[in-house]
Amino acid sequence: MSLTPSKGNSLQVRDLEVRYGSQPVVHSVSLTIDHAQIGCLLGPSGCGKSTLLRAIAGLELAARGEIKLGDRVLTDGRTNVVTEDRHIGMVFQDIALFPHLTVSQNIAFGLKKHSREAKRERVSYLLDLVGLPGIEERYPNSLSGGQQQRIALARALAPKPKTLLMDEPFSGLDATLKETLVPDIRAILVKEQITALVVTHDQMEAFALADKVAVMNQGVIEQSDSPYVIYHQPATRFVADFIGQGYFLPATVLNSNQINTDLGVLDLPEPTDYATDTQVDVLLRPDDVLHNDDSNYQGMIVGKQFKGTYFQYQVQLSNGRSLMCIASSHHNHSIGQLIGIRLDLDHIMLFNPESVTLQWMQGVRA
Amino acid sequence: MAISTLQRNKRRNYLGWLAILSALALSAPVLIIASYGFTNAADVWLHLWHTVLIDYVRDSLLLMLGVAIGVLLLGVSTAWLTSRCEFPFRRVLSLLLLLPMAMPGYIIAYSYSGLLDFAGPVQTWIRNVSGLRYGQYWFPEIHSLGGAIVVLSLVLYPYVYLMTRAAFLSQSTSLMDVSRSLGRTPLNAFFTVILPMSRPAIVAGLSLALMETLADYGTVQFYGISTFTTGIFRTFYGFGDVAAASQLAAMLLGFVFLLIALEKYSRRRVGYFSSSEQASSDYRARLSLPLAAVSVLCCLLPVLFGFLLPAGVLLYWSLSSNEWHSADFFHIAGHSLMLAALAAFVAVLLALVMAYAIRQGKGRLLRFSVQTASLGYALPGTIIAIGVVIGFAWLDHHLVPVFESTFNIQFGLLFSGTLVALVFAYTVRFLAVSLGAVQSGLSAIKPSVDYSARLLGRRPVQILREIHLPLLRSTVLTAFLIVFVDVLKELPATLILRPFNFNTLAVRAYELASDERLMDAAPAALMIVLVGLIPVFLLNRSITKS
Repeated sequence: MSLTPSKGNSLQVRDLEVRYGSQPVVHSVSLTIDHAQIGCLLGPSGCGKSTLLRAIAGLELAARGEIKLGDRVLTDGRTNVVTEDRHIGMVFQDIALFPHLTVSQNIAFGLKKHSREAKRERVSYLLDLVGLPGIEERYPNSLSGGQQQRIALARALAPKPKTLLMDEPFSGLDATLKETLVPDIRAILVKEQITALVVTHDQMEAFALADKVAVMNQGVIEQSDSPYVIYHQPATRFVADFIGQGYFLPATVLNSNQINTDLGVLDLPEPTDYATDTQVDVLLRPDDVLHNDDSNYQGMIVGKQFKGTYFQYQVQLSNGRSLMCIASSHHNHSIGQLIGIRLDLDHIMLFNPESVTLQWMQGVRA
Repeated sequence: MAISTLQRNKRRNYLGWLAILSALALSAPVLIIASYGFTNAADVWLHLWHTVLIDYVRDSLLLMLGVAIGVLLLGVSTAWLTSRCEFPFRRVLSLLLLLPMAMPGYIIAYSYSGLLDFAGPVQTWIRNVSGLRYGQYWFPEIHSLGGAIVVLSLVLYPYVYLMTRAAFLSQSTSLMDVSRSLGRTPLNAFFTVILPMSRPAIVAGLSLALMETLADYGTVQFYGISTFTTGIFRTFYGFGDVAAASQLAAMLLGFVFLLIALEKYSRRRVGYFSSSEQASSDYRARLSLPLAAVSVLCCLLPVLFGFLLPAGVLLYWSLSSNEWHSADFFHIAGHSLMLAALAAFVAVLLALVMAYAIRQGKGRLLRFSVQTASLGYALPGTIIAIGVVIGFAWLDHHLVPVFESTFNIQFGLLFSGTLVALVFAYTVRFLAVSLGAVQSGLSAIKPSVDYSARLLGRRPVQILREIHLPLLRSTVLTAFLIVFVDVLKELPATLILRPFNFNTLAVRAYELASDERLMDAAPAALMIVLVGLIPVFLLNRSITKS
């Protein structure tokens, strides 16, 4: 953001490839997390995100490519710094506290060269930071899952690592605990000005935590940007599909400025490159389809969920296609009823079913 | 600073190969015997068939059948009472019921023989009280198949008891409640619901008890029964016929494999039948006073006859024996403890090598060889000993001459009839024990713990010292102790493989008992029993902890 970007402890991955045997699991991945920024690797299980993280930590050997931390090369074609010399902190999915050591011994484990006094000070500072003061002498098995995760974070932060990696740190915790822990941990990372990279398969977690989200699929980063852009401007069909509740409404290109859908003709804000009569898909989120009694288009309610402040209806059009539709919580309709619906898009995403990329345009009205 | 990880990968392979080589070496005796099952030795078979084989098969099967009934009756009933009923002394009794595990079959056989044979105190008392003389009254003959079945059942039922009790405890008590709400009586529900659900666990415990029965030599030899193990000894020593002994061993191996298959099959179903998601409750039926008294008796009798009485007899004899005054006894005890410690050390060391190799690599050859080497625990010591005899004789005749001609030194017999052979056989037999303990300890140290330590700047050697050593210390110690005690109790392999004039406590007890000097055999036997209590206490602790 500043005019003279200081690299500081930025994490730079360039053209990285990691293989299991002859099988590449991470293909030519490039990714930069700026100093003191929090990045999230988001993707379905088996997409290579954990492998990428482990390669950064030096727990997997890169077959090709470069990893740099600030100005320091961790691995490239010629050198490879071993894990213990990388000065990277890491928090694991299964927490992995040392069960035979007390909380304070766990946190001080990475502080070898410090004096006893300095160790005690650092431990007590970190316990305050993670919100668990005064439990120095307890053993890990006497702590709850959330407490253990906080201690694991404190342990990883203790030696002031140049970057912090977290591998699915919240997946073992229950939903209510996550809701308080995730923002807490973001606050801690921001306060400590630490460059972090977090692996998760949970997009809400990624959105709550990250400055930058990289969506991974089959060993490739499909898109890497701010959570807002990832959600509203997915670069690929996979990202559009994977992020948010989305579905595709088929449409036909009428001319370069109009497409025809089941819910009427849409005027495009800018001309499309697709030829007339091309079959395209429009990405819809549930909040893009609204209940409106005045609409010319009607659908039959086949399912409904009460979400407190609103209803989410599943409606079926006369041609059998079914859509999600949001209505205010006062509009309590019953299953089987016909209701009017209309499109309310403030931007439009067109996909050609044969290609993976999409055309994005702002400001549409049906 | 920048050491390539590639170098480290190479170092790992050394450990893997070391593990594979030692596992293959330990598998050799089993494979040698198994190969005899496939050799064409029709004339040997025909000879055995015409002479002794039918006896061996019949007596072995009858013994297994009898022991099966005995351990099921004792094990299942006590398991049910201690897990699902409430009566006075229940907690104490549930632990005491494990005590007979400390009593090797051949030692309880000596006690009852001394107690119940013609000259023993029981029959003497009957004669004194009734005035009858030999032949004028009926008394069961302890030196018989029936006698062997009873004494073996008394020390082997804890296998069934342990497994069944765990199964009962894991079952939700609501099963019983549901059955009763559907109109079943408690007894009916026990037989139609609870027992069928626990069958896999019961069968698993039963097959362990039967493996021990097949492996037994001391009891059947002393009671004069012709089973496979006594047959192998007779063929090997009496006729000096290694080939025929190996054929018998191969056939016995077939029986053992059947039991292993049975055990593995039922273990697979143990998980299937247990309902882990249901929280099992601690509910126990309160018994009326007469029923409670019967329950106490039911749980006390196996402890009394399986441990307290025979141990008491041994203690009584020991106090009146002269054995304590013989320097020989302490000499032998020292030998025994040293040998057991040596074998336990080797077994634990190899277990560590294999467990770490498995933890680091996924090689199929590694897994296969370690699995084969672990089979030893299910195998009778007799089989292993014969396999070792054959294998080491081959080494002495083929390998040593090569050394001798290379280095121009006379070695003589390097392997056969030395302590090397004995320690090797013990390691084959008990590797699975140490390996199991070490692996379970190691599995508690997740790989991410290692990674965390490395990320916090520790070298692999430092991780071993600061993380693994403190975390593994108690499991390694436990593994060492259990192997130590098992080696101390081991009889048949020791008899076959011990160097000339080298005695252990087990052999001493066996020799004196065979000479009808039961009183002098008692001190050695008592010492084995007392040391045997160590693993029982360890087991108790792990049960009460969980």
